[in-house]
Amino acid sequence: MMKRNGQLCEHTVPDYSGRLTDAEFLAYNSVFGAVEKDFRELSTVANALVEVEKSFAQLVKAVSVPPKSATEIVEAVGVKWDAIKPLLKVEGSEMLWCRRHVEGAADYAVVERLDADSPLAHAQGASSLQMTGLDAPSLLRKFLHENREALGLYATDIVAEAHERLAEKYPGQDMDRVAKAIEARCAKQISSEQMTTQTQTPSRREGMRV
Amino acid sequence: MDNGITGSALLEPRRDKPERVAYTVQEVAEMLGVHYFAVYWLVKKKKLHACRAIPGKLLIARTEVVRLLHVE
Repeated sequence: MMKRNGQLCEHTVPDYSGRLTDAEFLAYNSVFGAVEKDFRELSTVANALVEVEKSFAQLVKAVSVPPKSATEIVEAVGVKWDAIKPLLKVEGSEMLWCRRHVEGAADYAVVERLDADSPLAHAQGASSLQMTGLDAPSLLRKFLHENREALGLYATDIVAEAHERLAEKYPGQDMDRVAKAIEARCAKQISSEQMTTQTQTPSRREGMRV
Repeated sequence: MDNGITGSALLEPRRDKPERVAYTVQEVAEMLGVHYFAVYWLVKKKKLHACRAIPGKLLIARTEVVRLLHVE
């Protein structure tokens, strides 16, 4: 078995192909434990996006046929939308998959609805139009793509926090493999993009709040 | 942040501490009353401008939070 600094490299950790020494393994457990809460939050959102990807066809179908029952109405930028299904829920907010008909043509949107008691909702309104489009599949793909990018920002922050803690706790020690192992675990968690690349319809309005 | 102060009250100046010029995503999430991910989404949509501090973490200027919350 390979040795590093006189120690056997015998420990494996999730989503990392290398093996860690005893010292590295202890550091990994200590630092990963410190960022684990964030990692779990990241995983929750990533898994929710995977569910949206899995339901892609049903979500497109849901906005292309008239609803069988009355749908909830959400209002954003003074425009009323039929909220067809929730796409993503996190504490304090949810993204809704919406549709409306204008002069016989369908218009699609993602509307974010905030907890009405939150300071952001008080300042900006509880509902905000996040993206709109005339082509439901393109809009849904764009929603997924942009959420994956937002998840990437989150993952980068988790890795940065891990680097900071490693530097604080193990000054002067080479913990590069530990950092790489944590980075690999975060990268794996957000890499489950299953969609094929297709042309997107440009959004017509973005980011307006009411 | 374990100081007994929550939400946008975190933005109010305190005599015992100098005013912060920037906050982490977690702190901003607490001020806005939303989940961390909603803050990353705001950054992604460029509704909230952020920069990466030297160790790589995103920091959001106090002025950005003030602008979003319409306070001051």
